[in-house]
Amino acid sequence: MIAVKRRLKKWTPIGVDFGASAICAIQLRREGRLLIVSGAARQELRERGAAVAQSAAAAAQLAICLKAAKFKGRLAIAGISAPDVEFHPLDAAAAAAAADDQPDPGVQAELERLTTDIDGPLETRFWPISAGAQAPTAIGVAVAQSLAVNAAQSCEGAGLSCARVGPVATALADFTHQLRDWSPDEIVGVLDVGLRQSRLVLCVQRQAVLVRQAGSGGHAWTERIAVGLNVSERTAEVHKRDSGIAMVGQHRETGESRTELSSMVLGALRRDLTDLAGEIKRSYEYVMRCYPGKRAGELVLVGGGSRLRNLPEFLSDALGIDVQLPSAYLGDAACRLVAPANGVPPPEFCAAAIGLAMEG
Amino acid sequence: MGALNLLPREYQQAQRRIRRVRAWAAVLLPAAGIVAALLAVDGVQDVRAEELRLENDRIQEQLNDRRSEVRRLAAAADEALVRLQRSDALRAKRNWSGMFQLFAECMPAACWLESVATDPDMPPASGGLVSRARPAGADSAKTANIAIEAPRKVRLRGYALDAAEPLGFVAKLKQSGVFQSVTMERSVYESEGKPPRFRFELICEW
Repeated sequence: MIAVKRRLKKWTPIGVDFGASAICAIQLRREGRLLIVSGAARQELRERGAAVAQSAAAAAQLAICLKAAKFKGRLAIAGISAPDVEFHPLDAAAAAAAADDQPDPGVQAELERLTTDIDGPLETRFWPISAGAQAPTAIGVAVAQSLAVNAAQSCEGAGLSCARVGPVATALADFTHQLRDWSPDEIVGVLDVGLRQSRLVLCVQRQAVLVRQAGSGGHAWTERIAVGLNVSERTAEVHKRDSGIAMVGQHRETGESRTELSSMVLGALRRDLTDLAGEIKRSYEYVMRCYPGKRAGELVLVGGGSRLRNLPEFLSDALGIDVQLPSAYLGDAACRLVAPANGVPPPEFCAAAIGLAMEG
Repeated sequence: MGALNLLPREYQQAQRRIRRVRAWAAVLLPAAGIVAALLAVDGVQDVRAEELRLENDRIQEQLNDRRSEVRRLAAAADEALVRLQRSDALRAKRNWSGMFQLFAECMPAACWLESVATDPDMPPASGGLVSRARPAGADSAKTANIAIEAPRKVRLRGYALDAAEPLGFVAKLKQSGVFQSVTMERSVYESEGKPPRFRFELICEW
C-alpha cells in the first residue's frame, strides 16, 4: 500500500545529506521506472566537520542550499553518516524476531555496549538481514539522540518538514541498486569516501549486510599529500583532484600517461590506499563467507574523495573487481536514474541525498 | 531496503502532534474566518437594519405630521368651500336686485333706509343647511352640494320725516303681493335728529 502511494506521488521528498564538507539536497521525479533528478543543490560548508552538530548553522547553510534550486513541496528526509552513526552486526535472535525496527531492551543494551564513540543518550534501531545468512542476523544502528534531533531541527529551521532522519548507509544501498540490475548472486559494494572517513556498504539482494569504516577519508589524504609533497593543504587538494594518483597494474600497461606529480601523490597515499583496498577485500571475503555461493560484484565509488583521479582504477587493480563512479552508469539502458547534465552536481557527490530521496 | 527513522519516538510523536495541530488549524482557521466574516456581515446587517428602522420611524413621524397638516388644510378647504357654497346659495335663493327695485318703488319720498338684512342675517349652523346626498364615491363628502334654506324674513330699518310715511311704505309692500306679511315692528320718534324724524323697523315675511 505504501509502495503504491509512493509510486502515485510524482515527486519524492527532498533528500538532505548533512555531510562533513557540504550539505546536499536532491529531489527526484518519478516517470515510469525512471527517477529523474528534478532539483539539486549542494552547499559547501564554511567550517568542515559534523554539519548537524550545530542545528542553527546547519539550517542556515541548508536554507542557502535550498535557494539554489527549485523543489516541489517541503517534505524532507535527512541523512547522517558515520562516524556520527555507528553500525554493529547483531547476532541476537530477538532482533530478527522483533516486530518493528525498535530493538527490545536486550538488543538495545547490546548496541549501547558496542557503541563506544558516541556520547550522550543513544537512539538505536536495526534492520534484519535476509534469510540464508550464516551470521549475523541484523545490523544495529546507534546515533546520539541530540544529533538526530539536530538534523530534523536543521531541516525545520530551513523551512522543510522533516519526515525522517535515516542513516546514509541504507540510502547508498538504495542508490546503488538504481544504477543497474544487479545479479542476485552478486555482492555489490558502495564505498563512500567522505571527508572524515571512508565507509563501505556491502549489499546482497538489495540489502545492506555489512556497513563499516574502511579507512581514512579525503581530508586525511590531503594531509598526507601536503606532508609528502611539502605543500599547503589547499595546494594538496588541487593536486589530489587534478593530478590524482598514477596508474598502476593493468591500467598502467594500457599506455595511460603517468606524470611525475601523480606518482608523487600515489607515493604519499599508497599506504592509505593499500590499507583501504585491503579493508575492502577483507570485507568482501567476510560477506562471501557469510553468504556462500555469492560472488564479489562491482564496487561503486561515491563521496567527495571518490573524485581522486584514477582511484577507481587503483582499487580495481587491487581488488580484481570492477570499480566505477556512478557517472559511468548514467545513460545506460539498465540505469533507472536520470541526472540532467546542467545544474546538477555529479551523482558521486550527491549519491546519499539521491538515496534518501528514493527512500521517501 | 526498509527505511529506518533515527528520530527519537518522543520527537516523532511531538512532530505528529504538531502536524495534527497544524492540519486542524489549516482546516479550522479558514472555517473560523468564514464564520467570523458571516458574523461580521450579520452584525453589519443588524446595524444597517437598526439604522433603517430609525430612518423608517423618522419618516413615519414626518408622514404623520404631513397627514395631520393635510387633514388640517383639507378641513380649512372644506370650511372655505362651505362658506363659498353658502354664499352662492344665498345669492341664488333670492333675486335681491328685484327686491331692492321693489323697495325703491314702494318707498315714499320722505323715507330712507338705513339697513336691509335678512332675519336671521346668516343661515343657522345646523338645520339651515341641507346636504343632498350623491352616489357613493371616493370624495363624495367633499363634492356634496349644500343647499341652504333661504331666509324667510327681511328686516328693513330706516327713517321717515313723517309718521305716516312708514305706514304708507308698509301698505305698498303689502300691495305688491311679494310678501306673505309686512309688519311694522316699531316706529320711534327721535327728536334729537336733525331734522327730527321717525325711526322705523319693518319685517317682511315671505
